[in-house]
Amino acid sequence: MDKRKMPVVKTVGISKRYGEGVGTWALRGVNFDVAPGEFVAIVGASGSGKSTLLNMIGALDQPTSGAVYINGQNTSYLDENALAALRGDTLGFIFQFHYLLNEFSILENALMPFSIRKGGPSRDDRQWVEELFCRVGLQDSMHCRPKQLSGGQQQRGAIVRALANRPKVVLADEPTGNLDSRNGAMVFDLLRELNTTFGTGFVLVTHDDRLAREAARIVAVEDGRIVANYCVEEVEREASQLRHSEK
Amino acid sequence: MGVFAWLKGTKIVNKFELKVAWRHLLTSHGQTELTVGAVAVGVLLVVFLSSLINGLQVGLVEDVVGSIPHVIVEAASHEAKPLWQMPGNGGNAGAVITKVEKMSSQKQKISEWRRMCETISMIPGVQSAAPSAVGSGFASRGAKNVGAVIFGVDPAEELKVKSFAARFVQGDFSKIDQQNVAIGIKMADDLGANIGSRIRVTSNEGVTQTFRVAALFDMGIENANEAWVYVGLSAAQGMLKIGKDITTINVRGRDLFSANRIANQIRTFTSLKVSSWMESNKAFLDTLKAQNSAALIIQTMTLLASAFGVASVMIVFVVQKSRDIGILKSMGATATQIQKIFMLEGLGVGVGGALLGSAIGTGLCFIVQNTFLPGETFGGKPATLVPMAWDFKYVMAASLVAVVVGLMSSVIPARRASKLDPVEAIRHG
Repeated sequence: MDKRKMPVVKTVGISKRYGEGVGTWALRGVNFDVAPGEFVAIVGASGSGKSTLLNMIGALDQPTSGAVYINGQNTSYLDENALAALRGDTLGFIFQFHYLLNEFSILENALMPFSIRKGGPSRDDRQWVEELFCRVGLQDSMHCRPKQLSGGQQQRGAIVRALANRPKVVLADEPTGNLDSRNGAMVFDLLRELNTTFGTGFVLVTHDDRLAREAARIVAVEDGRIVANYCVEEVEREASQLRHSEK
Repeated sequence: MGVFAWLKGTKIVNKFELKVAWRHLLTSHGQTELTVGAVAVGVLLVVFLSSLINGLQVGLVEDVVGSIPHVIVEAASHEAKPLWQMPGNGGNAGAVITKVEKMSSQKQKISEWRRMCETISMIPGVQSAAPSAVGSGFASRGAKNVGAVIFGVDPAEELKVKSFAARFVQGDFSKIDQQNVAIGIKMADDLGANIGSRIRVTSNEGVTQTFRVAALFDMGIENANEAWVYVGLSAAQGMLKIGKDITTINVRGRDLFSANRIANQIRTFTSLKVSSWMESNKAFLDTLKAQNSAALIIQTMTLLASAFGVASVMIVFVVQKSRDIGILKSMGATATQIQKIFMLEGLGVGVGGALLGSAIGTGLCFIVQNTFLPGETFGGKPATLVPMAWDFKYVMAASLVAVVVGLMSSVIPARRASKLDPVEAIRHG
């Protein structure tokens, strides 16, 4: 398969059960993939399984059955160190809260992936991260500790950290959930812009249907199953054609 | 930070692990201070207790051994040999059927003592060997008589084999010779003598000589103060009627506790009777050993308590840092890296505690060591508030143990941190 078209993340019939015995099924036979540079929104009610799905495709958790492929590698066959390497090299994470390390400045936080994987950032890495800080409007605050910043600034710092190691896909779990509507919209616009500018793929878990509609593809999860998976552009085109034909 | 820099150089840990560990320690809101304090108290106690116990022992040993040589070589007493022994097996083997009487009247002496002294001096670890003529008699002044043990010595040589110069409370020991004598304070009191007084000394051989009291000593031992009389070697030889011979060679080793080894080496080339102070004071040494064991138990308990303190604070620390651990794992940190971070923190706590505890412990030792009690002596020296003998090796040993304790205490918390599930850590951290 052409590597450029090969999904960065792909799940094949993954299920996840919590607890022993019958337990609780959080996911049931989910098939899902993310192409390079794609912007996907996962929507669903609380407890529908969308965050569990995100953890599976982020190799933070292992499915009870089925397989998760990241960069073509089946994560079931990888040991803990290989999984860590895969996360560090391929994926970026943004959470509902910023979860920046309070002992470090946001610049040091953003450079952390390089320290973890390579022992430290190169000059190019540093330039790239500083450019990202300029993009998100934090060029004057990057030496501040997280506690010295507002909630919106903290989340933008977390976005820079997620993008620092040039991941193929950024997995964002309710990245605007803890922000007011103005800051939420700002952060979402920023993610869209970064997706367009750098071609980084995004998988976004959100409750906010209005924001989800801005994504290229929407995946709806209900009771651990994908109940809808459609391309926003295609739907809109079909709707438009329908409107034309009705006229 | 020096240890961290060294670790970085060894490539055992990388910059990331060092940086995170260091920042955790610096921003722990009092937990670092608490754990470093726990280790420091352990180190402080070990340094202080070791110095105290050593000080007490040095003082006691000085009191016991200061006035006696480390090894004494004496002429072997002539044992009568049984003419016949019953041959046999088991319990009867070697049974003596002839009664052996000790020959107490015969004077024992060493003739070739100069050569013997030279040979003994060549044994590794021997500091000095000095001749001595020892016998019994009595001292008298006017109508007063007291029993006496006469020591004929060369004062310069004697001072090399006994560390008792500080015990001479009046006069000058180096002046003793044919006419001058050194006696104990109790004997001087009994005889009503003082420096410059003249006393008569009569040996059991019936020779009487008059001496002028040149020095008074306080050996810290009642019997010695009551009966010991130091005269010149030639004077004693004449009084004991042994010509140019001597009765005893006193030996001093460089190390007090090498006495048994030196005694054994002397036994290999002579049939003379050799005894070390350690053999003669076995009960005393057993007491010292018991004291050492007690001190070791207390020190071990103290360090164990420190270790549990560090481990429990570290576990709390891991719980507090759970979310950070999950985030680091999501960024690609491996379990090994996480484990190293927390072990580095334990190491940092150990090193910090060792430095702080050593500094405070050493400072305390020096303060106590230099606080003297006026008019009192211990071990022949001015008595301090508590006898202390600080040694750098205690600091090194305590510090080394503290570093190991810090490191080992962090093993379980570090393993726990490394095994944290990142999803759970992020969600519930």
